[in-house]
Amino acid sequence: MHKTYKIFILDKDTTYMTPLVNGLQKAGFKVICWEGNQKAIDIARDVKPDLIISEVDLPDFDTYDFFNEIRSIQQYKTVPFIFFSSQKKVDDRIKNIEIGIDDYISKPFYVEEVVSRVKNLLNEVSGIEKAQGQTEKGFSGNLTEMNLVDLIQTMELGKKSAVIKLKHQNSLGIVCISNGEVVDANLEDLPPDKAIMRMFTWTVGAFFVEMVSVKLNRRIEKSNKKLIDIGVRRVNDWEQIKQGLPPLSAIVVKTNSNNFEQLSDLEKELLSGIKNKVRIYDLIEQSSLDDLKTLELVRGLHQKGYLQETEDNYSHYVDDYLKRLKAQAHNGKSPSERAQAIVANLFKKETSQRQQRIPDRRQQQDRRKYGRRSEDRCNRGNPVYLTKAELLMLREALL
Amino acid sequence: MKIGEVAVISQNGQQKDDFIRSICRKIDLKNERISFGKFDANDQLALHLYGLSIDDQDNDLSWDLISRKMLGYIVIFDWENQISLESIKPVVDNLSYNMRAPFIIIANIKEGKKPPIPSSFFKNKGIVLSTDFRFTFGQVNKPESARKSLRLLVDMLLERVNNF
Amino acid sequence: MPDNSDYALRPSEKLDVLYRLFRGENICDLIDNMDNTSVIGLQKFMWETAAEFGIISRKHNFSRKEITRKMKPTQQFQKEQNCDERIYFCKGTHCIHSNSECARKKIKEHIKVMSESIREYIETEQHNETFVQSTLS
Repeated sequence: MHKTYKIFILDKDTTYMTPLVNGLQKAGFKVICWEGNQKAIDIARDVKPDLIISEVDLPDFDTYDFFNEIRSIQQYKTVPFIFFSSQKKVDDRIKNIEIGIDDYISKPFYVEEVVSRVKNLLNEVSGIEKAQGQTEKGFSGNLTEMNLVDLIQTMELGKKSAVIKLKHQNSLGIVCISNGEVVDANLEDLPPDKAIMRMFTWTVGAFFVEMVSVKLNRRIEKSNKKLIDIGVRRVNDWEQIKQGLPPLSAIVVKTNSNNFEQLSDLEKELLSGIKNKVRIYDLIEQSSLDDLKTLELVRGLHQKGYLQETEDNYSHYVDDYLKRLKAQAHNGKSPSERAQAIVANLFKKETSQRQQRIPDRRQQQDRRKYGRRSEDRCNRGNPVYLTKAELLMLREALL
Repeated sequence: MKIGEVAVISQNGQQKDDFIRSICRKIDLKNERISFGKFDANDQLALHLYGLSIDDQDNDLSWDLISRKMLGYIVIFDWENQISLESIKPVVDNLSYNMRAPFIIIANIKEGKKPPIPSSFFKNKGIVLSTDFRFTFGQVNKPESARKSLRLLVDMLLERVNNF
Repeated sequence: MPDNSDYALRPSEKLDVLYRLFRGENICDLIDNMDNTSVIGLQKFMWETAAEFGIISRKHNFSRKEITRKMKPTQQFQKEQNCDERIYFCKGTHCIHSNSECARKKIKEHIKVMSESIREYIETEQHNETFVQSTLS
């Protein structure tokens, strides 16, 4: 957290307050404590807190009135509010939910838990504010609408620094841009130049741009202009060659043709490497030749009748699915499947979350009008906040 | 005391109350909006169940708060009643698109009736409809059955914890 | 080509399918009220359900071919439709947008086969369950 957030606490109970204040201060927050009295609202105005924590049961002080008063002040409409309440008072807890407080915590509490909830709430609010300030931290989308060439051009225009993550099929690629210049690219074990060339041809998939400062040694020597020229040409050539082929996800197989005379050496070499059914995508990825060249060779072999697509209605997908199901039924997921799933999932969550965070103008106006909206918050959170041990305990208790 | 929270949503008030009662033995508190029950796993850990019925959704309930803090959701409908199924559909779509917590859909079977498919198809992990939600048959007024459904939810949470 | 995950049914649609499936009702009718994307989603969901139920019922002996062999061969279907498109393209994901009527027809036939297979798996398990119960009692 770059900003120092101010937490305003209303409570008299030093038994709980001392460790909590220490914990919050240790976590980098500025903490202002005040006992509940009629001056509380004035103090709150002076303090301009980023988050308020208040005990529900304060003598001679109506916390609910205080809450309503705070919420009626425009400036504090969106300041998160946490109530401490006695666990026995279930009625209070339900009332708290109903009036729209942001969180409630029962005493006795774990300081770490409170600190973590405070952080979550502040992250949530700052996330919304950032979204309102448009896309300062990043944006995401679909490669069909915006490919890598478009993304590089956009970054170059604003002289921005960013890490661009691209997802295509099962591959995840990264391009690093510093002050508008492409400095590095990473895709599997490929050298940076080859990695970026391959990513130029990705016109299906997702991208996620994270605007961060990039301090890396330059591993791509070509200038942006040169890269963009090559990129545009590659995309055009790629699309053109693709037109003469089945979809690249199609599975092809060698035909029985034995007459290799009309084939070039490269075509022969590529053909000899094909043993069984193979997806065109995989063929390109496995080839040591340039992707565009390989695609051209595949097209040639296909047109000359040496390769043909198989009749494969869903078989590839279903076989994969079956394999996965069977693996799960017995030994659990294989390590590579698990790793892939984790990466895919992380990326998916990140992308979809970010996509939802970029609001259109009307949504922003609505936010200003109504303060924080429920869907802003529904899309975050729901973390599994119990540990594995606690979940196992719970499971056992439910047996 | 660490607390986990689960929302129990049903088409009518009875099913969610039955479920909470089956898990927690009693309903600690009930008003026109929420039923509340507490299940103590041990002296360090408790599970709080908040029951909401779909009919009550028009009320100004803090759905955002409920959603953010929940470990997961249990959605119940009556297998014999198509209206009941129809009424939970918007809720499950909403949960699926807006929340990141897992949920279990329970098709409630009435006393004396049997599920339409053999239990081998749903007894271990329910019928997996996505990584986030599963479908199972159960009798929410039977503690054993309700606990089994809740265990499915805990298992889904454990899977998440194991994966990350 | 869109990724398979783009064709997922909504949770409520999945529930609808299960509701009909377990009541032995017709699934194919659902297609008539679905948009193209959902139709593909339905096909995918039916495959997943058939595979899951097939594995539970048949254990290791389950194979996708058990279902596909009951389906009309693509060549025959294409011939009946007077379609001279390449065989690979004769699948829902490719021609549902260009020739929706034909694709839907094919998918309907496939879904019918898959629901029959799922019913068969359910019945097999039901017999097993009854057998085990009668043996125990």
